Amino acid sequence: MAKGGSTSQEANLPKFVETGLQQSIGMGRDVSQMGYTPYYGPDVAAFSPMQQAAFEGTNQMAGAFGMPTAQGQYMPEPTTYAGGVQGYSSAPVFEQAQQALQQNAPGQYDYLNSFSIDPMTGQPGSRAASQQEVALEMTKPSSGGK
Amino acid sequence: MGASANPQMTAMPGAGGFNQVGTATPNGMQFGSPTGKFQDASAGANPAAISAAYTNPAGLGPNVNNFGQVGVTGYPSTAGQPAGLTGYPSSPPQAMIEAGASPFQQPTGSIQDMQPTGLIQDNTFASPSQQPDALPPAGQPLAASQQSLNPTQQQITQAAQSANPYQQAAGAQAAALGRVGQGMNQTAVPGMQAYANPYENQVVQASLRDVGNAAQTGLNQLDYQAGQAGAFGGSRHGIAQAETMQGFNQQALDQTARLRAQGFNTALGASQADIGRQLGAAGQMAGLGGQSFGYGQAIQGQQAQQGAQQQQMMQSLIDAAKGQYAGYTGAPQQGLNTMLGTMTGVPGQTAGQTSSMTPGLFNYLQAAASF
Repeated sequence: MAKGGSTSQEANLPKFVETGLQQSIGMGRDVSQMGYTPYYGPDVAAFSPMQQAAFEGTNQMAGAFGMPTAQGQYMPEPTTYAGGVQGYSSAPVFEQAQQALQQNAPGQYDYLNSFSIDPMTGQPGSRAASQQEVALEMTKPSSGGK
Repeated sequence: MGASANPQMTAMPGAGGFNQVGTATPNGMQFGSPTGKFQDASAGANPAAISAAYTNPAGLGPNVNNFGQVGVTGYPSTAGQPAGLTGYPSSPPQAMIEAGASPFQQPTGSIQDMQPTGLIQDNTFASPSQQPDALPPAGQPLAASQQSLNPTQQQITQAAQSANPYQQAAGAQAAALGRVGQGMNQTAVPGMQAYANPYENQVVQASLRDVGNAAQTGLNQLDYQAGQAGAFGGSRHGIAQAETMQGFNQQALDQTARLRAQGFNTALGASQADIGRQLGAAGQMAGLGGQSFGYGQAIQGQQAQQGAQQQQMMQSLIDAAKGQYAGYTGAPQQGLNTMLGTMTGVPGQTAGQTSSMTPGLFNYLQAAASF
């Protein structure tokens, strides 16, 4: 090529594509640091009164024939939610497990939470995408071409 | 039992007139030895005494009816059962007493005043409390004491009144088990007393009076014939009297035994029928208990099934809410995915490229040559 001229070729995105791509990257960054959103609503429906009557019938059947009966309440008291829905939520058990992790493995607990925002303040964690260090080594001036 | 062993017998006027020489029967009866002779000579000379003696051959005093011991050991005399006769209508026996030719009928007081004697107490049904079913007065309802239910009946009643089918089943089962278990070793004897004919003694005694009257008539005829023959009071007359009495004696025994045996068999059959009926009812009770148990199970199954449907419906509500929540919290990610998907579909995304050329010496020479 020393005896002749040189040919250069560079790829360029359409402007609207580049705009969308950059927005998607930014959105993805933000979504990625949103973290897990626990569910605090009911998970399992409570037994219906008719089912409880059937349970009591089993007890009465056993009692009538002198067999042992189930004493006390095994199932916890269900929570009544909006619309009269009665059920049980796994949230308390989940939170207890979180607390147990924090107590038993605090380093891992903090590390895990550092990837997402603080659920109380909304501030991104230290390892959230927006907090990652960036070193742009492949960027070239917009005037283009060497 | 010898005659002297019974103070009432020896105390009774004329009782000795019927004591005979003979061996006592196992049940204590001394009456009617076929080969025996009357020890009291007045028996032969006093037909009236013979008739009276036949009315009560054992010679027992008031309040004691020893005919219950005749022929049937262990089978009681109804007259000696105060519990069985409590509240019993006194009119038929009283009428017989009033009409009665026998001085051995109860002279004073009512039957209720009668107390069991030692002989009666030796019987199987000695104690009134041991008699589960005393005979109710004819045409009258059960006495209050008889209306009280036994434990089995109470179980049955409680089971029937209970609204819980399982309790019904358990009660019926327990009652049936108890009754069947009781029936395994049960005999008809304890229940026989309930079916003993309360007038049996009167019937027997009336029958004996008939025999006695016949004996008296026969002896009168014998005396008349002996007188006609000029042999009245002679040895042949005495022998003839003894032979005549022996025949009537045997007839009285046979009649008594037949009546007693008839009463015994009747009571035994009725008691056996009672046991069979009760055991049958126990089996039926067990079946009804099974039905009640089935009812309970069927109802409980319906409750469980329909309750599960209700629970499932509520679970569906919860699942729907959870789905909405998941959609809500996943909306940003969904939005990002949508955006990226849109970008992927843009044509020429990677074709947007520009080319540029910087000519060199060769390019210029080549261009000049072309001219």
